[in-house]
Amino acid sequence: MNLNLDFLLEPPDFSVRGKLIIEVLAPLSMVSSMPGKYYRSQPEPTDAMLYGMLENALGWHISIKERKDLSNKLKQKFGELEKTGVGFISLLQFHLRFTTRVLPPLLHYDDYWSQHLRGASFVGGSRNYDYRAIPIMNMHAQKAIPPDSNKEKRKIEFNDKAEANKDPNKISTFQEWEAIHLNVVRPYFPQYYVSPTLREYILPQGIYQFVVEASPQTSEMIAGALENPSAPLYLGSNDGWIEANLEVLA
Amino acid sequence: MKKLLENLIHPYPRYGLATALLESKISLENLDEENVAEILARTIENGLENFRLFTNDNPLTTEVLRFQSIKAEELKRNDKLVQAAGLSNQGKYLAPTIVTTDGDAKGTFDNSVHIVELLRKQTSLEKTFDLSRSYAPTTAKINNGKNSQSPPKGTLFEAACSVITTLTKTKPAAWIGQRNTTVIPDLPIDEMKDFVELFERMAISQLDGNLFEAKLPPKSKENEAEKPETVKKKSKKTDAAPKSEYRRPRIFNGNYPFAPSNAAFGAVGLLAAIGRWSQRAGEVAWAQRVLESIAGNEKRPGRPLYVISYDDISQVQFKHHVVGLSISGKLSQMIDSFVRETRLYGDTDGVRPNRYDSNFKTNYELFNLMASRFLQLFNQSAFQDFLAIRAEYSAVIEPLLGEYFMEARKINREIVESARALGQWLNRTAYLVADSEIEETAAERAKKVRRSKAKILVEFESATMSAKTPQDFLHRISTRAGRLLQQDIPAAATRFMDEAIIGENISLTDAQHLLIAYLRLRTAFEKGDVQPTATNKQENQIETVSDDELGINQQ
Repeated sequence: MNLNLDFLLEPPDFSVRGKLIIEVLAPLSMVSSMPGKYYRSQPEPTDAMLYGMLENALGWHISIKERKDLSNKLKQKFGELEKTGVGFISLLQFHLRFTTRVLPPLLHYDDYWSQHLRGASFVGGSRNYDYRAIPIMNMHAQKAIPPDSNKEKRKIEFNDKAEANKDPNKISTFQEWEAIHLNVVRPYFPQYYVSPTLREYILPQGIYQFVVEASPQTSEMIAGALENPSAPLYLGSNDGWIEANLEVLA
Repeated sequence: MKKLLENLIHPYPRYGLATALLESKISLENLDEENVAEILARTIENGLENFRLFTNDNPLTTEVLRFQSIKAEELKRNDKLVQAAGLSNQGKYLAPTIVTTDGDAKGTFDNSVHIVELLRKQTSLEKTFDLSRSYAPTTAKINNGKNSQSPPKGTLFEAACSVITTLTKTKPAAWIGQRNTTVIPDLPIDEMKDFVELFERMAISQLDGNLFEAKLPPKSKENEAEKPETVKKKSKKTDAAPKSEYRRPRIFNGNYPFAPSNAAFGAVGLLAAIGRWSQRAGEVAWAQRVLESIAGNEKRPGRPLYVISYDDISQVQFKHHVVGLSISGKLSQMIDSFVRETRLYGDTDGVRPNRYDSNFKTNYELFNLMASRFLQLFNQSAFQDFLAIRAEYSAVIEPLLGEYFMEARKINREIVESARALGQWLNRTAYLVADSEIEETAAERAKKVRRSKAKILVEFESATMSAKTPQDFLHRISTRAGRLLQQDIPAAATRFMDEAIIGENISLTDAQHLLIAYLRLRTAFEKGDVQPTATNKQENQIETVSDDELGINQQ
């Protein structure tokens, strides 16, 4: 698929003003700083989030490596680019700017979000796994007092220590009170597990309005993309669905 | 500089920046690259001066312990004072304003000292810096698609401002559930500065007595004589460590005057305390401005308040009604009354309700939680949850009910007053009937009267809540009350009854809620079975009036 991005190398032109109207269809959670234990939502989307949404509508799903190459070209012409906390570099950032904003009244609340994580906890965290792992997981779920100590623990243990048993046949020939290495069970589990994390959500009771300044071609291109977006539009977390339209003013 | 400020989007470091601007007496416009590092470093060092408290008084000999902070130099010299086992038992408590735990205090201290060094070395503030939970409690190590966890990144500026927030004593804080908890509003930088300034003035005002004191229970000399006999029975317990004689000072309940005595009211209690302080200190206009910036007004909704501790973080959002209730000073009294004077229908033991060792402890905790949510949300479903726990309230709550029905539910004042007359009459009826049923000389008379009254009130409530139409419940209530007391309903109640039946100006649910709420208000008619305690005596408007003085029934 060919995408003509040459117009991005032209000098920026902010002659046309448009009004971007965003209607929120689901609660949003727009987090841009200090994540980890509690994800606090911004009351309004940041510029980078809006650029990302527009690029989504335009269908610019460009991989990290290609994006880096393109942004280097932009950097040579226009200077340093803004990079967000998760490493997203928007290609539109020099040619579009958001000036005035009108924010609706907001309702804030906390809710749990299914955070997908990778790591050594896939055994306990994944709900689905291969049927061949069922017997070993059944034993893993049981706890009892082992013969060599008097503290209750699981009948079989998974860890990544060097002493753990690495024999791949152990998945069917296991016995109780063994320590099995994670790599033995790894092929039978999805590597992403889910952990519910507390996150703040906002429910706008109204619409967001932004004044957008760009060149005539860019504004038309964006208005067209928003009428017929090539991907569902969202802001913040990926279930924050929105409906967006651009009205080109004088 | 401008870019750094623009990127400070999280309210937690923004609070730190506001504190730094206030302590250095500098405005945001005058902040520039030359002075900012020194300002931040100095504010962090001020925070380190209030890290741990200690007392020179001996709890075995005095009854009042006075606490001070350990100087930061001593902490730097002796790191056993920063974090070590057994410090709490020696009365060296971690100050409630430091948002960390005893287990991570060293992390907080060391990171703060390290950041001060970086600031003084003129390191660029835009330099990427790893954020740590020890001073930025909303962060934690995360996977972010990689196989192992890594700390989230911010700028050195963000980290320094977060450290200030974690350490400063100029923020509302309390020791709740064994964790230092603080309340941070989400305001733009100017309004944040206003809040910090107001809080600073409030915290040093000492209008509620000296918060750095702890009063110990009096030592009785008889226990000393009995000790040799009891030692033999308790010999099994000697392996347990002796309980510390030290007690935490009042500041751990809240580092500002008029802090609520129950943690369930944490955020709303802070707003109430601001209002009450402003009344005493004569700063009502200022407090109103700050409260409106947090709770909003009719046109603008409130901004969230973040209740932050090392383990739990949540947010609370208020509506504008809280401002009026708080400024009048009444909200603080109402919260006290909810905590101290509410009596569950089922709790007939004891003279003082809601004792810490009562059998109904969980129910009272649930009640406090529902009351706190009602004060926050102020809508019909929150009120229904509040009413779900059957209890009798003190007459101090009355303005809150009036405000709710007249302002939030938009019911005509005359209807509300008429409902009040009916409800109070029913409450008084129940008391008189209960009083007359039990013999004068019966054992535990007060308890029996309470139980009997509760039974009658429950009958009225059940009749009200189970009715499908207003005619239904009004009919049942008037019949029952008439049979009990052989009297008719007072004339003042007719307006409410008529409007409830017509149903135009008031819905069935509102009518039910109105009646139940008012019939639970304890009237001044009773020989009060709740003795006002020393603290609330000054503010309390309940007066126990004898029958002779009141004399006539209102017919």
